[in-house]
Amino acid sequence: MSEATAPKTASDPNATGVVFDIGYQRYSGPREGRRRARLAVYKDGIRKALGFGRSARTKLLPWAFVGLLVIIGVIMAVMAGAGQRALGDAGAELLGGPSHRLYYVISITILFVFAALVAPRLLCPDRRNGTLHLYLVRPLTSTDYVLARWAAFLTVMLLVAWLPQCVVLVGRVLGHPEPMTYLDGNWTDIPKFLLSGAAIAVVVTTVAMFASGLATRRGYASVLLIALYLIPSAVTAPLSLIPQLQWVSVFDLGQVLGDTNTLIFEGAPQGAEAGAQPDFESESPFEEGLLPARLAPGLLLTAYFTWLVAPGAILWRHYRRLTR
Amino acid sequence: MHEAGALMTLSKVTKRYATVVALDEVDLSFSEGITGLLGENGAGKSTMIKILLGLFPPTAGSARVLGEDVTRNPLIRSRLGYMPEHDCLPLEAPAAEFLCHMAEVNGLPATRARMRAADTLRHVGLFEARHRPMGTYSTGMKQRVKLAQALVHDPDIVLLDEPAAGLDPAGRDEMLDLVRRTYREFGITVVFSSHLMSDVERTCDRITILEGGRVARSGRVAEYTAETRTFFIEVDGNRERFLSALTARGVSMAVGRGGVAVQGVDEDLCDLVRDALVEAEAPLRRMAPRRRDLTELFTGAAGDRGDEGGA
Repeated sequence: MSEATAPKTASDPNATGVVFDIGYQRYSGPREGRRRARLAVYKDGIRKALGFGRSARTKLLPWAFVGLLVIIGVIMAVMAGAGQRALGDAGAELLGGPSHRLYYVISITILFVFAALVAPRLLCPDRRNGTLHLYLVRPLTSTDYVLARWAAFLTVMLLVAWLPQCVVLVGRVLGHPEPMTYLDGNWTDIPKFLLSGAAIAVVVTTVAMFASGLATRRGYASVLLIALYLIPSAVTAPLSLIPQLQWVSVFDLGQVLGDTNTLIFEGAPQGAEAGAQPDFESESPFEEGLLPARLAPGLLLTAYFTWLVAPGAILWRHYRRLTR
Repeated sequence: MHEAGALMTLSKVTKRYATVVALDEVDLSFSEGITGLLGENGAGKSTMIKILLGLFPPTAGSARVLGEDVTRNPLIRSRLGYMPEHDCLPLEAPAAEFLCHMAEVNGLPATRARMRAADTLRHVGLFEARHRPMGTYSTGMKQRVKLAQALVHDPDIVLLDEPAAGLDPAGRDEMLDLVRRTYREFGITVVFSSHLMSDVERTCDRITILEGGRVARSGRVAEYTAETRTFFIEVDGNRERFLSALTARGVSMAVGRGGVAVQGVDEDLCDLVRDALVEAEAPLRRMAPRRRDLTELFTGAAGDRGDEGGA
């Protein structure tokens, strides 16, 4: 076992090719404390999520989703560009066509499934393998650990949300006969899709990390997350058709995120109240039938922040209790 | 009662879990060297280690490590290393990558962390296997990675929870040798829990015996294994004639299967033994003062708890 613990010396001046094995040494270099510790956990979280440094099989899942979302972005970009060239400005505007807002409407469910399958990689194995204890006996608190993992997955979610939007933007710009004119007239789409993507990513990340923190097995966490997304939707969708019960949509995470996206792109609906029928008009025939009744902005914001804060607080408290 | 210059101290520490008292008003200090924490399962060894690491606070009392309250100052943990008893390794990761990551989590810059990971894996004899996923390692190799991750950031103190658990005799010898070298060659203070007396006796300078959450005994191993006022004699033949010759000379003795224990240490006794050997024509194999066995100490600890103090 002590394969190379005895140091070799170059006592013979004629010796060549001497390997100096100095073995274990005391360390007197810098120690960068909690900042370095948090950064290390953050970097490790990104590596785990995207499978860097792991087998091709581990990489397959996250990158397949990234690929799928980019392909959707490319298809939308090509359609937008083709429509622009074929129908001209006026025709394309009349027809609507794929937009930045529509991209999120289509991709929210895919983003959520991605989170359900990938986020558990960041928390579940550390608890299941017992590695969490090794983190918590280092200059790192449970809050540091959870925040670093959350930030790592948020970074991945932002990449996955924004990258295809950039593809859509490039398609729309290049599809226009005068790209600079298009940019000049539609530059506000950029902060809107960045903001909307961030709003979706923050909540999806928090809910995904919450479910991952409760389970030690990745499969259980994934099932819990998908159930959190689908079951409330299945229950509230028929109920929300009754105007007096439209508020129950606050339990439907998909609707909350979808309405937040619409709010960012289109602003508040005129005279919106809980239970009111939306007067929002679809910009595209592609979206016909996709738009449920929108939540009133006040209720929507309350629901949005509740979906953000409640799972986050439970997750934080859960990890605090692990060290009590 | 704490020693001057103690690296870690527990003052009146109590830890309760619902209805169970894991530690009960423990007063103890740990100074430089290798200290063995000995006790049966459930005696409170792991709880004591976790309190020293700041993994959870005591219900009552205080724990200080290197002069700091470890629950209030997590930075002090960068001077500590911990090897848990349970599994803690991400099996899909190679050892080199895992150690490098753990060094960074201890605050070492990335380039230094890589160098430290390689050096530490060489120290524990895993340099050649460092790029293999840890899931392919044997139990002994995994134990060595666990020790390596406790040492990778060069701590001042390492706390090892049952480091030789689950190892075969050869693996156990290697692990205990590594633990000894960790202090003797690198000056890293070791606190080492075990329920095996022989491991502690072979490895540690000091010993603390825990029983039912209380310190039953604490002191230097050498004191407990000091010579007794008894000689142990083994002969290669004519054993019965030798015993008769001793009896004839009025020597007080206890006969065991391996040899005979003779009470007394003075020169007259040695002369009587010599004469008995000559008379019986019994070839002498061994004659040595008998040392106390730690097992005697452990079995006698329950009835004698008045010896608490610095380890």
